[in-house]
Amino acid sequence: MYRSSPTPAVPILTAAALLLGVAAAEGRQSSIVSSQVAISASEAALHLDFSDGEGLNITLSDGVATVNGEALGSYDVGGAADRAWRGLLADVRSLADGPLARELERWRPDPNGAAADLELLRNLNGLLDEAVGGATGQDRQDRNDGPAQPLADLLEIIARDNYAEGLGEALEDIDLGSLDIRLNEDHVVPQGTLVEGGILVAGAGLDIRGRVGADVVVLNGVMNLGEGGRIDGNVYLIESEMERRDGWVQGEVVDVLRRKRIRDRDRVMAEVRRELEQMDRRTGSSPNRNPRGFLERVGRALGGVFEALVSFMFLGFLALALRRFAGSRMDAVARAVECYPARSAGVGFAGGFLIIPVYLLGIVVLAISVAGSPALLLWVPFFPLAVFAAGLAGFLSVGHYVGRRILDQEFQWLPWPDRHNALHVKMVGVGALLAPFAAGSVIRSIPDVGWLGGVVQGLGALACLAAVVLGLGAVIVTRGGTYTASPESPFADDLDSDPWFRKAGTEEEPVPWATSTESGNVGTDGTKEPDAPDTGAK
Amino acid sequence: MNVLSIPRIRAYVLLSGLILPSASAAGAPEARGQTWKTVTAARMITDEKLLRVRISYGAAVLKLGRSDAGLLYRAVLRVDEEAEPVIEYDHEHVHLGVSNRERRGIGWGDSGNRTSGNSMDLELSREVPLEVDLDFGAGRADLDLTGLPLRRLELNTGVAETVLYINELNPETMESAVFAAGAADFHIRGMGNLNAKTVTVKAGISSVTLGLDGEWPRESRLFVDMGLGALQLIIPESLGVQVRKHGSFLASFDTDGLVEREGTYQSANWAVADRSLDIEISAAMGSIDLTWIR
Repeated sequence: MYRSSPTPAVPILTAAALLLGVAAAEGRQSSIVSSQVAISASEAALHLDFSDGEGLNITLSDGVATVNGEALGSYDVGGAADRAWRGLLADVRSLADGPLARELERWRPDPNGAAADLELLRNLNGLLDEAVGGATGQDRQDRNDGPAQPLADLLEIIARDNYAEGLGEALEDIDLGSLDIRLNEDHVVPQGTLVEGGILVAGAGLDIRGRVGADVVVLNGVMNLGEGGRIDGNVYLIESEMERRDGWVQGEVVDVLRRKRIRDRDRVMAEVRRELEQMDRRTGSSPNRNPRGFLERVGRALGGVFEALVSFMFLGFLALALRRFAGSRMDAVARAVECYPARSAGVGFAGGFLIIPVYLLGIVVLAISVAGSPALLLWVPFFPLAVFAAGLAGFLSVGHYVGRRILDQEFQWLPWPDRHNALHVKMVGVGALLAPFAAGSVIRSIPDVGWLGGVVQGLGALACLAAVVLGLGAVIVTRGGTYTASPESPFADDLDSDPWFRKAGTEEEPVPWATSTESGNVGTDGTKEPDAPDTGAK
Repeated sequence: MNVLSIPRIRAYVLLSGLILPSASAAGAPEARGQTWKTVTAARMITDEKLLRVRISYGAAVLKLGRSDAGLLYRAVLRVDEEAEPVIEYDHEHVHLGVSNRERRGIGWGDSGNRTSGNSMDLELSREVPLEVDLDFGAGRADLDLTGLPLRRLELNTGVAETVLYINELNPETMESAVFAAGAADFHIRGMGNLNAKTVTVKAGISSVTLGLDGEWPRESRLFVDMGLGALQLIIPESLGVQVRKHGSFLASFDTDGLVEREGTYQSANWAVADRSLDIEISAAMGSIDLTWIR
């Protein structure tokens, strides 16, 4: 480590820096326009910019002290010089301009320190004195020559909201009965004396050279803490300044107005946050500001779940009817969904775009052809119905696919659906497709995360839309279920073991394509699977 | 709608890259052996007629408020010692942020534990007009703009919880105020006090609450471009509002208190209100809710 054995260069550099500082100070009536204090484990730095364009940069870092980039000396990390410098920076970092300059000028190193440390600190002290001398002299001169603050002005100051509030805040924890109050008159606590209570000085100066046993409040004044001065409590400054000459404050030095402003800001922000949280807990409000309470939230959530249940039941009845009257066609569509998902999706997507043009074209063609006029009467209402039915049938078929995939997981919490019952399988799938709507309704009623409910419902809507497109494509690909997919489908077992299927074509009275054939596949229940449905050829 | 708008892209990137380290940092103790650097900087007003402020701040806590009289700005930054606070002033321009020594970049800094204890407490002049450009990455921002003379304001947040509050009318007039939130909780109160001709809010994956209270001293327009999330508008009953909603059917719109007229939704007092606001909302997915206040 770079140790502080003085080298010939150091005193020369120091002297040069001091001379430069003196010259700069004598030549300018400048003020500090910018200050920067950086403190970390390895570094303690002060950077000052003055109004005349000059700058001063003192850095103690990793055992080396530099001034404007030039080495000034070295020090022990954590030693007396390091601690003294850090103590100074900690004291001044909240200050700016005149108060900062004065505090820097007041600073004196401890004369009882080690010689090497003392030399470095004295050099730093000299640099600071010379650098900030011009920034404090004028200000101090103005204050000394200025007239005493008239009482009327003082009262006016106190009457102003901020100061009154600040004074109130400063006096909050002080025993007013023990307070020695001095209005508009300078006050001195002489060396060797002890004031047991606190002191309040307004509109004047307070010079403490003795000991004050409690808090000190200074309003619109200047407090000088002289050498040997000691304050056992806190110092509260309201529009005031404090000058310290090696005095000691056991408590805190508080800039009351600044602290109040920061507290006010934090309080307001906390209130805003609380208010926003309360707002968020509402799911909305009506124009007459009826807040939506817990019961209304629960009601809305239950309403959403009920809507999903009604949809589920409707689709369940529809699935039941389709199994009863068009079971084999539904099987064919379900097989297409599983065997040709990409083709089905593509066809469904294209079909979705072509539905309206085909519908309109059909109307035009039938309208202009004499023979087609009677058919037009059927085309206009039944084409949309057919498309709607195809979409629903396709949706149920996709539901079958989804249900099968879910049941394949053999979830322990889902024991009751019979995976060999096509209706059960479909309803599991349809339930899964509708579940996001119910879940979204419930989530929307939960404060703070209600917006996620909309997201869940949106994703559910996307999934259902995709199911309809895929299913519609499968309906088209199978020409309404008259063209079946490969019997190699893994769905074969649950499709062919379906009770409705068996009811339509039982062992005793099998449907033509469900009878045992040599080419048929054997289902899980031992029934033979057909190669083709009864209604169409491959 | 521009599906791949900047805040949305940023949101996706941030979601993949920042949420996890930020989340882990939030609940984790400080890194072992981590040391901190505290930098306090202050500058007095000299001859500045305007101050352009650029803040690039990666993570943790940011507080913004107004300074004491005579000060141009005051900043207190607490950062990991490995990071380098950036406080650069050139005539009427100030740039504040954090630079990572290893990455040699200014702005996002490090992620995870190294930034979990970071903080910036910034106070800006109440006397010099301000143009503020703020990029805030992850964490929490408390922005109290009360008393700040703002001429321009642009705020970009990543994965952040941001509360912006303005309790008094901005003494300066703003042409536009722009807020872009990536994946964030974003709240504004007192938007009418911004004194802006247009206010634009772009949100990626966010929960956004816009308090439309305040003075609204001129006819103003509010544009909201939402990706995925929830938008809540808090509207004073005395304010006349007209809402146009674009976007997909996947964004629900609670029209309580509004009447549909020719494709727009208007409050009952739209034609007669002393103060009015034209709102245009574009939303891809989520919900838009209205809350009326006196």
